[in-house]
Amino acid sequence: MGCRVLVADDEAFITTVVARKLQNAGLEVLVAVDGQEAYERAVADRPDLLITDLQMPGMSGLELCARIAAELPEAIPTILLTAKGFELKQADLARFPAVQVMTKPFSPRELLARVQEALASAGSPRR
Amino acid sequence: MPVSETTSRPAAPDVPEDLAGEVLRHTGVAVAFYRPDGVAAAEAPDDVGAAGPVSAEAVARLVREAAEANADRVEWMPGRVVAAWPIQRRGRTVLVATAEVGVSSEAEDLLARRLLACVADAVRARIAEADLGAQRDSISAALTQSFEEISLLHNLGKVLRVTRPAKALMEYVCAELRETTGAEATMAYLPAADGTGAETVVSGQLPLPASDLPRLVTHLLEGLCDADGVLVNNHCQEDPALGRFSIALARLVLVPLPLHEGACGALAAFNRPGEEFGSPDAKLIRSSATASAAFIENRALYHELQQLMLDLVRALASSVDAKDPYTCGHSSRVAVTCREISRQLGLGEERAEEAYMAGLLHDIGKIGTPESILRKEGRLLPEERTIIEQHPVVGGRILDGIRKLDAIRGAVVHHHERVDGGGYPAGLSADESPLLARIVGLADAFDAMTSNRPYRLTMPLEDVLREIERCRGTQFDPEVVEAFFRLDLDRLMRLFIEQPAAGSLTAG
Repeated sequence: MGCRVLVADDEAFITTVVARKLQNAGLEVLVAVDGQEAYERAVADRPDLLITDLQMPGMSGLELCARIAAELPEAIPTILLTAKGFELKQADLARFPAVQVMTKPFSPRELLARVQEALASAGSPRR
Repeated sequence: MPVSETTSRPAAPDVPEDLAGEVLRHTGVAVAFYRPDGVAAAEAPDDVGAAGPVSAEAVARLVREAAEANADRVEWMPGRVVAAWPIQRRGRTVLVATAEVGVSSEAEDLLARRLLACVADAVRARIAEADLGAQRDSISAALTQSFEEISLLHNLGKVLRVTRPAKALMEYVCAELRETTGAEATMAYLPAADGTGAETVVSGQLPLPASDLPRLVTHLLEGLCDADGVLVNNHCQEDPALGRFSIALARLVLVPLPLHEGACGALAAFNRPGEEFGSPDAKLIRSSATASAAFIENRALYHELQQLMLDLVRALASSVDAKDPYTCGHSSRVAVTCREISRQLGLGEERAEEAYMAGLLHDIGKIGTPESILRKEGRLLPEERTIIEQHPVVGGRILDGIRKLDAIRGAVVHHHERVDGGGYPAGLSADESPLLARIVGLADAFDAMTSNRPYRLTMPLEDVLREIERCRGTQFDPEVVEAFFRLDLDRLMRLFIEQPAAGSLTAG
């Protein structure tokens, strides 16, 4: 598909598992280990989709979404892959229509399906 | 993973312990580590401090220059060569290493620079290696936790046996969940099906009195209306309603345990020092709850069906008893006696229940025997005797094809055999006829002798026992007789007198 996915998580096993799964499905994967790095890569590399943890050192996943939204003209479809999904209030998410939540532990297969679905509904790659 | 740093820089890699000392021993080069802003990041080895006349300010400046330029800096300072190498992680400088070598000539200067370049490579390689090691450790830790969770769910499948009481299952689930999640306490709340009272199973140290659990669970379940059906609260102390229950209650996960229609239990974990509860905990507890609830529900259905079968069998048995007012309650009394003997023989509860059923059904073949023969007073004619002696075989035929009653059919067919081989229908001896049949045989004879029959009045208990003793080894199995004599027969007889039909004697 030639789509580019940015994966941001401070836990190595998450980025490793997610990157493998998406790469095997033919997607290009960028990895960031914190919010700041994810922000810089998002602005510089314009991924088609963002998968981010909520709790990361320095910048939370939602702060990251807010900063990207402020910087880029178009929202990046985002999957919030988090252990805090059951505590997130709908009100917290209301500001981020492009964000869907997936709770840990997750099925890598299901994540890939969600990624492909999100990419398909977002249309062809911008590049 | 630590969440404390507010800097946007990736955390500095751990400098392997004694790396500086090792480099010094092998190469004579003194290495030190600084943060990119020039502040020392790790204690330098003791003997490095005395390395030379290079000022701390000069080193700090070199560190900042290397960090800003993101490039190695090597500088000649009076009598020495000093180097600063930025060490990067994910493209950003996170650490700067410095090293210095004393030189006394231009030739030595060149050699020193080459030596420093080699040391730089070695130091970077060691730090990258340590970084990978830390990453591997964190992946292993995550994998270990995943394995624990998977094996909990696997083992849950193994302990779900309908013969196991619900409480015992929940004790297992609570203990396993506490171990796996690291919670201080776990709890299962099981309201009774009829809404009267509830059972609570606890593992670990509860942050509140166990007697308050029902109110807490009720309160939490009321607030639980979201679709996920999971409650995670890591800030209980900020909730005044929860604070009223216990100030020690800090964190909790609670999932409903949908048991019976209308009744909802709960499975919960309380407090985990050092780490908040998250969705991995909640999902694990929810899966355990779903499996447990399905099991408890199935178990109730299973027992309902079992009860239904027992009731049907009892109805069937009393339809035979009803043909003859003298034998009223006979089947039930024989059933209870069979069960008592089986327990006394140590056969286990499952066999004891089989014996009970065999006792209920032993005379089912009499359903086809004319009432005129059954109710006849005085001696039977030989042809009448032939007819009545067919009832064990007829009974076996009636039960034929009911797979669940296979073990019982043999007892029905052979309950009139004698251990000396002189009984009917097959003339089997002790080791040929089923144990269950020998048990029913004795219980049947005992009840026949102790209750009124058309042809005979009740014998006194002592006479009955003497008669049984007399027939031990000829009519009755000696071991069964022995077990029978060990029973509290007075209690048994009282029970039969108080409840003549013995129909209300439960299977348990």
